[in-house]
Amino acid sequence: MEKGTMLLVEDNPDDVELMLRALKKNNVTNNVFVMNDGREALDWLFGEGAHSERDTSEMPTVVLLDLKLPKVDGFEVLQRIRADDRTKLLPVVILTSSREEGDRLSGYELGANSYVCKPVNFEQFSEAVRQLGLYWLLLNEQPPS
Amino acid sequence: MRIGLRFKWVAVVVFLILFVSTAICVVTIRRGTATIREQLNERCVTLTRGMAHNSEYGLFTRNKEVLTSLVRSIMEAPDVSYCAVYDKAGGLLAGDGDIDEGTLKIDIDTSSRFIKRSGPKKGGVLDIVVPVVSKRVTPGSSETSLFPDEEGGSGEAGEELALFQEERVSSKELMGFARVGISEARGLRNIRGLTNDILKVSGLVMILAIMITILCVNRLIKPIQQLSAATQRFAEGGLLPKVNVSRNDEIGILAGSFNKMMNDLRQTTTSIDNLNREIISRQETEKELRKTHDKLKASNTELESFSYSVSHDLRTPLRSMDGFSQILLEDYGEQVDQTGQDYLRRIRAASQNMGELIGDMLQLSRITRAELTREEVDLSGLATEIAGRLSENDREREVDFVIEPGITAHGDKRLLGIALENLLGNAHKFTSKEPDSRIEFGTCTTCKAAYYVRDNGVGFDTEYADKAFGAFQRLHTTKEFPGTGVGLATVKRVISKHGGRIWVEAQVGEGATFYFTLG
Repeated sequence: MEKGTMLLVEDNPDDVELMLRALKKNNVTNNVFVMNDGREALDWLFGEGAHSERDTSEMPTVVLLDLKLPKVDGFEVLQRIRADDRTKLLPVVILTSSREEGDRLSGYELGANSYVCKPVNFEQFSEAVRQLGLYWLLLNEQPPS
Repeated sequence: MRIGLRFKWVAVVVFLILFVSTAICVVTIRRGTATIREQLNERCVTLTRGMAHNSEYGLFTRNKEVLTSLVRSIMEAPDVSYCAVYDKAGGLLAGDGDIDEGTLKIDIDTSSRFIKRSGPKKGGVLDIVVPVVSKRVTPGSSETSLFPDEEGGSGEAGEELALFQEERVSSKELMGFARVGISEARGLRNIRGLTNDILKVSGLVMILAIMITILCVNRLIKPIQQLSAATQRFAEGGLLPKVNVSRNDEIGILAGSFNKMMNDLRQTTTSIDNLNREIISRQETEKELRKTHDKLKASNTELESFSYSVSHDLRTPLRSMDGFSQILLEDYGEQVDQTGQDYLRRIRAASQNMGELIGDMLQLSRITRAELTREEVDLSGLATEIAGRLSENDREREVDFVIEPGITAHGDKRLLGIALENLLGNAHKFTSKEPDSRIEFGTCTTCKAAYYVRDNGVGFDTEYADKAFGAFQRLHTTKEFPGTGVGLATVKRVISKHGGRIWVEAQVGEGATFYFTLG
């Protein structure tokens, strides 16, 4: 499973660690880029700030986006992604602890492709990550560039 | 200047009385005077005519003695001042009384009146002169007879003799003149007397009438004045007065109505005051309520954001705990002994348990805060769905769900769904040790409840029935059956919100039946 890259936007290092491990365990060993806050994520995506040298013609296959992020929060990142022509069609999966109806509504309204709640149980969590990886990196057809 | 009612009344009545009295007086006096005068004249003329008639003979025979005795007899009549007979040339033949000796100056003028009367010139003496004419009327003459027919005095046209009629005398027939002077003094005295009497009586009557009027007007006016004064006092802001009038006429009715009006007004004022006071106190209460409402609203909003934090932030560390414990087990499991592995498992279990607790707590608080939106809910349908899901998630078991069809209720679909989920989920859980699990959902018409959920699971001691609904209260250990003890508390909150009741009948080893109503 070598196709595609994943952008993981998550501030909690424990969650990052668990996710990476789950991905590895399930052989979703694609390139995973981890950004720890909204600002960094946007900079990386659009090749600005600290990541101005990045080749922005190469966009990730999918973005796994947490909502609670420092500096720029998940919703704003999503908005910016959808606002820019380069990333308008980029698949974004919201991966968050919040089950709140309001958050779900906002997520879909702002254009998220999917909304997944992070389970507390590690096995379930692993399984969720595996399925996400399988689906978005392998099964899902990317939008034409 | 305001003219009082009494003054007006009295003035009007007095004026009326005066006017009427004066009018009557005047009319009466004039009439009386006229009558007396008339009578006097009549008498005078009659007397003089009689004398003229009787002196015919004397004049004809030129007998002075006859004339003198005639004159004397006439003089005896009352009021006669003087009396005389003249010859046709005007020479005095016989006379008596206060008379000027001299020729009677008479204008023998056929066109003028012959019988004259002299007024006050002669000191109030009526002077009548009647020509003495022989009765013989020349045949063919058209003169009017001086004297009326003896038979009643009606002429050709039935005319009566007027006192001062024009009389023409032909000198041929004239024999002489009879003259009588009648003193008006007595007549005048009579008139004066009459006038005095009338005036006196009139005056007396007037005074009496005026006095009576004043008295009556007073009696009439007094209550009106009272009423007027009372209303004025009231208008100027005084207390509500009462009028003491006990009469049976319109004024009495007016006073009575006035008193009643004042009474009603008093009552209305009192009730208005009361109402005002009540309004003020209600407004105060409203203010307080509003304050409380605002506080509650703020409180709720705080709870809302607290729940959000809880749901999000508390879960994250739990995940770490659970995750890394598991990883430890997986990756370093061989390096840890059984006890260590057991401890790690406990850590995992504890964090998962906490996760569930958080979820249940959140749900419970959300239910308490939620607004009820009532609609027709198909409970049978809901129950069937839930039953399906429970069976799906646990394919190894065979559970017999008996759901009565067509059960509906008027309530909040989401909340009722949660309640049923908990009840059926519990039933499913506590029958897990039964080989033949049977879960029923239906309506009960005979008992007080509307609905029930029955299972033939492990049951519990009815002694703990009340405890079952307490939050975080459990009647079994986690080892026997998992759970946080919030499920039934949640159900109870939902039922209470709908205004209903829930209770349970259970037996150890036989199962439990939960009954509930929905208000």
